[in-house]
Amino acid sequence: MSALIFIAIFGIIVLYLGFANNKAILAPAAIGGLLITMALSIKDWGVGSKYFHDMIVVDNFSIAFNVSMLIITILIFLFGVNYYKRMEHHVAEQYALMIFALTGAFLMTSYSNLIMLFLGIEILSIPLYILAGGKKSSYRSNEASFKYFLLGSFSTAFFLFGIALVYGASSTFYLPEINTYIAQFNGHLPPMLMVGLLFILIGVSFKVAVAPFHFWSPDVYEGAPTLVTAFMATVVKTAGFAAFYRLLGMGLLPLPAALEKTLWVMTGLSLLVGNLAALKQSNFKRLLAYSAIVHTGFMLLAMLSQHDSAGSVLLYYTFVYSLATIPLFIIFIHMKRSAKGLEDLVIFRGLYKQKPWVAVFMTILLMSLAGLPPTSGFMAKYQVFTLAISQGYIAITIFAIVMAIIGVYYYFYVLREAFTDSDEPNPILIPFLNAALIVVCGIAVVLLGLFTFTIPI
Amino acid sequence: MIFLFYLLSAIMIVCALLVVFSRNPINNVIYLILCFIAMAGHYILLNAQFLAVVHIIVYTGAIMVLFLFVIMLLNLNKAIIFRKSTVTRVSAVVTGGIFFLVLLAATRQTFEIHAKYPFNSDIGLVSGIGKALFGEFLLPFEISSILFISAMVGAMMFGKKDE
Amino acid sequence: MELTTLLFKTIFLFIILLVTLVVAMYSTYAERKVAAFMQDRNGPNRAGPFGLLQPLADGLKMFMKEEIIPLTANKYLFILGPSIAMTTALLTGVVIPWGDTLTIGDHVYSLQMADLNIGILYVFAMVSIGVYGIMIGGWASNNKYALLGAIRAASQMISYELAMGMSIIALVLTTGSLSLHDIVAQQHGMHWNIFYQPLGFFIFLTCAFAETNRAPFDLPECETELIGGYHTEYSSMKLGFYLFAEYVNMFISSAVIATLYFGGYNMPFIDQLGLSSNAVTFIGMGFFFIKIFAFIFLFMWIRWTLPRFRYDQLMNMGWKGLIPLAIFNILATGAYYFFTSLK
Repeated sequence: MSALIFIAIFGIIVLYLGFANNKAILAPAAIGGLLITMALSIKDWGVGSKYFHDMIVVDNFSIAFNVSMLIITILIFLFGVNYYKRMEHHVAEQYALMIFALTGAFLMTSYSNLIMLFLGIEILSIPLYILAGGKKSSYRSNEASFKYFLLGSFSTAFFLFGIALVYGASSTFYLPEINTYIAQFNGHLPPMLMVGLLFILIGVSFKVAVAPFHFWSPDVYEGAPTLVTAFMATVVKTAGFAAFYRLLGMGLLPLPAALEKTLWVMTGLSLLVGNLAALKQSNFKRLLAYSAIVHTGFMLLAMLSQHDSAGSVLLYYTFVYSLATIPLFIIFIHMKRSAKGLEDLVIFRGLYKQKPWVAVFMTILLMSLAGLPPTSGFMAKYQVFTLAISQGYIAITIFAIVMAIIGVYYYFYVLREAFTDSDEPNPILIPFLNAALIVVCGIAVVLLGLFTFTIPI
Repeated sequence: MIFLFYLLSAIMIVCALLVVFSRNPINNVIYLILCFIAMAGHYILLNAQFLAVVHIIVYTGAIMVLFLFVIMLLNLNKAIIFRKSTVTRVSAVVTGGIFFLVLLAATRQTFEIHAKYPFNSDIGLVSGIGKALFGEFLLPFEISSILFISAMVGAMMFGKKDE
Repeated sequence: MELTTLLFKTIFLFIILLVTLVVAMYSTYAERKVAAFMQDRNGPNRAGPFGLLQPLADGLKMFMKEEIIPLTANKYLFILGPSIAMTTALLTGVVIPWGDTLTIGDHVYSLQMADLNIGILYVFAMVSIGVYGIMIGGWASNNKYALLGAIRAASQMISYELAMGMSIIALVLTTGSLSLHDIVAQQHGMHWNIFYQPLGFFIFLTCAFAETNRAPFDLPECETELIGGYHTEYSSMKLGFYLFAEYVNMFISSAVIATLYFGGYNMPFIDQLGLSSNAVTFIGMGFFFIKIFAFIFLFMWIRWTLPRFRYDQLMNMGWKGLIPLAIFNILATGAYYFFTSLK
């Protein structure tokens, strides 16, 4: 709880640091604040307490996810040091908005009341709508911001309507109480409750871009500034899945049959739609957007298994996914800058020739995304599949494995470009800090694959 | 009371339909305002005076004024009619119809539920809402300030000209 | 509700309406007389003794004039505009406590149409709806001056509503009630809120000027730039409605200011006189009207002495001056009550 309060206030402090007119202090200050938040979070490990009329539950699950998101955000802020170097205005606001979004993410990992989930999603989303439009002069960025905002508010409307219907049926916002209310029906839920739950599911699915609620994500990923895209692909996804898991994996167990079927279909659709669309992409950011949809499908599979350790697997999955994604975006932004703003896959041409070590690390990262051993991406997928099979979801797991194999194609398509010689090579400049980030993340991706962790959640 | 309820509901439904079907943006906004005022009437019927007045102040008095403002500044005298393909239209109708059915199904058993939870006439008065906001719902109430400050930061960022 | 109460309320409602309209009517006369006094001239003196029949003559003139609806105007909205302006102006009067209770026979009647427990907010809501009268009328005229006036009016009223609401919050912190009846009752015996909320009063007063579109905030209709602002295209009684609504608003704002900050119908030393309760009520009512007239005079006084603000000055003052001041006022009031409650 102290972590939540601290980070909420810290965002405002960062906002005021903008008055200092010194961009250099922003990133260190922000990272320092996040480290303090992390310390405050870890302090509560194992205590497990509820605050403010049980609105907030601080347990190991929420702390583990919070710390994971904090680490990822610190990586993104380190990326921001160079990324924002050329930006003149509103740099403090960028950091502050990301910290505000993180506050919302914290609420999403630790709510036990649907109101808090709603607020968490909104506090996470509104800074993102703004951040996505951060490049004011770019039409793409404006389009991304506006599209995200419109569709986001539409999904919020569904979500709120769902909460209202659930409240109307059960007269409570508290997840445990809703669960006891559901339990009394033995699987035959009253229609009002059922529709309400489905609407809530739609609202959360939108945030994590599960097919068929994924339409916004490629456009927004493409249009938003790259750093924001990285933030969306990692922190937002992690927070969304934490919220999803708290709702379905912890709150409403055992899942009502209708919800389970819906999840089943959404899992299959995400895998299929994401993969098929990714095969045809030539824009790197769009490719990663569709690949993110596929990964969402795998994570949903873990959730579908309703196994006790699914939370831990989800944490592992989101964490290693984020670790692999951020350096890819870093490499991408430098390739983009050297290619004078192009975002196509061809910009990776000649990377191996100029910076062989970057190409090697890129291979590792893409292998992790594709789920090939010995990387941690393989271990993550492996854990998901074993969970799903152990709970008897054979058909969908086999489908997922096939999809994972298909996915290798487009990741290696990117690699093929990286190892091809370019006709007109442009100099690629990678600053020390970013190079260090790529190396550290690359090594971490491999190490985490060798030493997988499970957290008692 | 029952008569008022039906009157207000009829006004609301007619206005809501007009919002959708009217071609002139200004008229749309005005019908929406009427719809909101009728909704405030519903709040009053439920003895929720505070909610009714706040509803009028916030939605009718502030948000819709800004709406009207923007429409006037954009000078949208005639609605731009988007031509949609037949497939889009049919699928929109089917989707809307299915959505309607789902909602109808959802509200099918409201009477049973209504019987279970008796009406509390103090719920919408200012003291009741105040106690709820600063008691049980203190955390959501306070944390929503983060929501507002980020929205304000956004307004500043988008609104300010970069020299 | 009993029949006698219903009868009393109906009669009382008509009296309020009548008084509001008459006061508004003679405010126009008073305004011209005050202006004349300030500018050292005579003012209206032809119709009746001292020109007292002038408002009637003006009203008659308004009715007799030809009614013009511009060809390009949106006809329904053109009529709707002044109607809304007038309606919302008149609706506010029902929550104002015009006097204490009146005892007729063995019945006790309250001289307040409706004692809502959110009375202040009701006033506020009506004021916020009042913007539509100007906006819709200005837009429907299909005239650029009218539209400019309407947009100015809307942005001005929205901006000043915020500061107004915040000054009310500080007031509510002191009174602990949103009901106008309670607020007046609490101020009995010279415990007027002006002594507890001086800063809040000044903010409220300034905002009241802006909300009624009176000088120095009369940019929506400023003649030198916008001809007549939102009512440029209006003629006949529709124009009369707009002009009249302004005076009704002025009267109601004065009544609200007197109620909130100057003790309403309370007057000092009334308890020492030892009068019967009905007599006290009537004297209180009279005293209330004296306060109202004083404020109406203040409105006019300021109009004829201060020049009009420039538009950016207006906005700067609203957003950068009054709102921070109002927030400070809330904080200070809250801190005061917090620290006094500690003892």
